[in-house]
Amino acid sequence: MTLLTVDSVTKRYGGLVAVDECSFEIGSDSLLGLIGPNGAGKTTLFNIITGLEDVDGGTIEIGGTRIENERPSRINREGIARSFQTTREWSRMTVMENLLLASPDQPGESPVLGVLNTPSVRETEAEKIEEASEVLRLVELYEKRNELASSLSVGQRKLLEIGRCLMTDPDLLLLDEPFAGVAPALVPVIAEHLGTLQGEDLSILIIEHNIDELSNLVEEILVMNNGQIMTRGAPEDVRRDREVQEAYLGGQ
Amino acid sequence: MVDANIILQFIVNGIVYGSIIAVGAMALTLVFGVLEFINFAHGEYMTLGAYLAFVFNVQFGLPIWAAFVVTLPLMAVFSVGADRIVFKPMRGDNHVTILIASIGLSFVLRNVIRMVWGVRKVGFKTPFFSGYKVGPVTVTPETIAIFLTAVAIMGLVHYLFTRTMIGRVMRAISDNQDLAAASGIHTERIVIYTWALGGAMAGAAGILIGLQNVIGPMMGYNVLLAIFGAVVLGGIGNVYGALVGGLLIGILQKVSVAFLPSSYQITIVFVVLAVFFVYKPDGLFRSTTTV
Repeated sequence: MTLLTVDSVTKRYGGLVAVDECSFEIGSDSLLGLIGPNGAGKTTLFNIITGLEDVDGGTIEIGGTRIENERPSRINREGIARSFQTTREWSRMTVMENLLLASPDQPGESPVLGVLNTPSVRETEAEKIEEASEVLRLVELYEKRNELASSLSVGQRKLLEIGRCLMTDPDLLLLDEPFAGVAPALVPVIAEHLGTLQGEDLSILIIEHNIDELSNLVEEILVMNNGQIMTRGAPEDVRRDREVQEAYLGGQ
Repeated sequence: MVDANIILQFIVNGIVYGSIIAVGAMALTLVFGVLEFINFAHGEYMTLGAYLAFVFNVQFGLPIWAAFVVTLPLMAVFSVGADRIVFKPMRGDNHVTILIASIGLSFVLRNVIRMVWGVRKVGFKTPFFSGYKVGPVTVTPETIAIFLTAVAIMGLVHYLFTRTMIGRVMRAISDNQDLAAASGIHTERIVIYTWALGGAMAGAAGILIGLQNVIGPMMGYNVLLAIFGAVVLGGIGNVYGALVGGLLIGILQKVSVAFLPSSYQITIVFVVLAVFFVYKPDGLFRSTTTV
């Protein structure tokens, strides 16, 4: 079943066309990689899908709902969560708080419940803490739950981002270079988590430069070049593809 | 040599004045933390707050505390309304554009205030009478009320940020707005709360200035430089920094009167700030993360 449909999406910055009539689909319960040379438009594509940037043309649907140019919080509630290339976290808050903030329908967004500590608010908070604890155990950060996010290593921050994304209960997870800058020992840990997460009504799309890392992980790789998906296929096919080699691997 | 008792008196005056500056500065820096621009119309928000309270207090005959309480929600509504009309359409544009718009709003408000209430200075009707001596220092019931109110506001803001859910979300947004939006937080709604809180606090600061001094169309503008100083001194965007910065600047300003003509007050503040920033250009507290 199709989860995400990107149809003829275009994004221009002045004269530069960053994403050019880009079209592709993502099925539910899939684990995909997105590769492409620097400037191919990968991160811009993520920014567009998650609403941080507007599109200049084309449509995006998730589960049949149009989301292009919607506000990011609504897109998130429609089921898309993302991580950032340079990890983003609420650095002066604890690991636990970072997760709680991502949880849907938190009382903090209500002008009344947000300032009152009513029993129902405390109950909701307790439930969210329970849920967040579960997610933190999953990404192996439970022991760090009361530490400030700024005290985490790069790899742990990547895990925190994944945890934060999971708190929003997504159908689609967009990960922007989850292995970049991560200590080599942590890479397989993150990869393993991603492997176990997929399925259970969750699709994952990973931007990654390291094609070897991706090949072991994903079922399919989408190759982006000049703002378009130029090809997609099984990792071994993509690696053999001559056009891909020329565009991305420098013809090696 | 200046008498030590006089210095002590000026320090007390400075703490009271500084507590008002601190409230105004916290409001300004709070809005900055979330919206990343300095609202030049902030001074006029304070002035408007004072005049609204004046209307309730003097024209409608409400006691000053009731006028204060009634004015704050009105200022919150005004502040949110001004955002909707003036600033929101420019959100996402160049920050300089919004900055210039806020300077324009400042002019418009100041002159509307002049048209409505005139240029003559007015004052609140208060039940307070003359001051009494505490040791060598003279305090008036007004100054005590001003100081306690300012401290109560600071306490409430602290409670809001550290103990409530809304405070947590506000901190998150001022720390990283894109991240908050991508995590499903309805940032625009929090922006509204922030303006409401900032507007109410600005109004409160204005009323306190009016209590301490007089009410006039330039009253807010006249303290804006001191408030800017407090905001930058505390590390821009940092609410607690603004609190400390406000108190320090208030004390500095009032104590300077013991040594130099009173018209040099703000000059002294900025000379000290200039020297300070040579050594600590980011302010007292790091400003990358707020509150």
